[in-house]
Amino acid sequence: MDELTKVRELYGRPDDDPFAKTRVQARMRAATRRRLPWQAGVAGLATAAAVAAAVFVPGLTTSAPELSPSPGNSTIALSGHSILLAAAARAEAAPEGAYWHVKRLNTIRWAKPYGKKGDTYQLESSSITEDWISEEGRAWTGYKNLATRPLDEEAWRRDGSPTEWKAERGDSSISPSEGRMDHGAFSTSPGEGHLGSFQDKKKFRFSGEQLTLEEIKALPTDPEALKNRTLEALHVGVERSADDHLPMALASLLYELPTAPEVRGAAYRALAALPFVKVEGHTKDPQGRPGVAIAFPSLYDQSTPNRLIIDPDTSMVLAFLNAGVPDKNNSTEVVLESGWTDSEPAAPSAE
Amino acid sequence: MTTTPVERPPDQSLDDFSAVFDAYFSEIHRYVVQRLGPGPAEDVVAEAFLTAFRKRARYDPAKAGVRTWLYGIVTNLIHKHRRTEVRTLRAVDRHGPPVDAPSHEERVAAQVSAESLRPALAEAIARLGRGERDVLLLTALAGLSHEEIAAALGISYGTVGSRLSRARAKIRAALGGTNPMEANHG
Repeated sequence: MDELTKVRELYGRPDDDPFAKTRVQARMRAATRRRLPWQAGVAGLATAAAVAAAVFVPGLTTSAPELSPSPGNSTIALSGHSILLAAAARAEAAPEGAYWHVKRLNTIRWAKPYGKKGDTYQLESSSITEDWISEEGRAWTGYKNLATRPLDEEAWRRDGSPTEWKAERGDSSISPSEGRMDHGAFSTSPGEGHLGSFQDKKKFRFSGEQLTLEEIKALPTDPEALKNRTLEALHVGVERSADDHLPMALASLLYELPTAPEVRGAAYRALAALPFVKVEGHTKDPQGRPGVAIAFPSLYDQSTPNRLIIDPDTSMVLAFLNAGVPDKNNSTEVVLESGWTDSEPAAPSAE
Repeated sequence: MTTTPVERPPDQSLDDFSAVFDAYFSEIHRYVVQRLGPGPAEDVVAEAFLTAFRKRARYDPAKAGVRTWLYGIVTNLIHKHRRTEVRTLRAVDRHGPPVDAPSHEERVAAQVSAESLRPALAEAIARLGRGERDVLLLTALAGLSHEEIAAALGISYGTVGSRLSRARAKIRAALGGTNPMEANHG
């Protein structure tokens, strides 16, 4: 492995913070008396956020389950609202253990075509990541690449059935940031499992803030107070776009962060109270597990909402789907396990 | 979870500066986060785009692409934060990966490397001269070519090459490879 590769691995790839752009714009406005110098008139950069906030495509939200019980049927169809409230009650009763543990399967369908002219195909890559946090705040992270697969096997065979691809910078059909995958390679063989530990106290990203474990544990357990605290975390002098980010930030409390059961319960209740969060009804996650889909507007693309699939019986989040956008990398995040456990951290072995 | 709007990169024009910002924000921000950490990065990136806007009349498309030019501006601003950068590197050494467990796309690309290499490598980068570090990281992290780095930093093509080979030799030596003096000859 050469030095440049080692340097890249040392630096890693920072998680794209979805709120950074808004905060940087806010800083620039503050430095230039509220209006970005290249912004003529009132439109400009705020437009995309405003559109995302306002529009929710009706066709996708019609399946709100009915309130009335079906005659002759002992099961009562729960309203979307009560499904979330039931999940909240389950969340509050969830067991605790020595480690907060989240195991996820991330799958990305890359927009960029691979292969040679005339025989191009898309790649789907996936990886397993696991995170543990002990009660004292020590943290471990595990990682394993799974096999990458071509989505069009015929085209892949015509391309000579390659087993490795250099991840390349994209063309102009995808944004420069997403195209900058020149850091790695895809392989049809799975990689090895790795486990790393953070020796010092880890901080956790909650919307725009970095919180210690103590601060995460001290989050409000009252839904309204939690919503306000979340808005505060989102808000760095930005006037209007906080609502767009709110469901995503609340969702992070449901499965990503080592929150107390009462906080998870409050997050479900806060989500249930948001007018633009829609419970779409029963569905299956990408692993085929049954759950209930909750949709909320995507930040940038108003035609395709983000979806969270939860298991209302256990309150666990099963998957986060960010998919269906043409010319974009579609990603899904499946939560294979999430919750408090007594099992020790170990490198991921397989699914 | 993170998405950016689909848009065409501006055709090396600064007429629509808002499009320039949208097209390059993520990439420039990521580069600064890598070098300085997420906190200082926001100030530096805000300043970089405001600087770019102020100096747009001086931008010469014949010399550099917009992206390259932005990397030059932001690299200059990073110099004001040298101590933060060194501290970030030494923190890598103590904390493992400098990032909050990356996810999604990022995670696919980032390999968790052998933990034992980290301290020596981070220390070696912290000890590089400023110019060597700029060239190394513009190559390794930003993926700029020698020509682009020369244009971004206003140095000659030859200087880019010599700084990069010095930086690489020092890193090789720090990781238990050959002596940097010998490596210069090889």
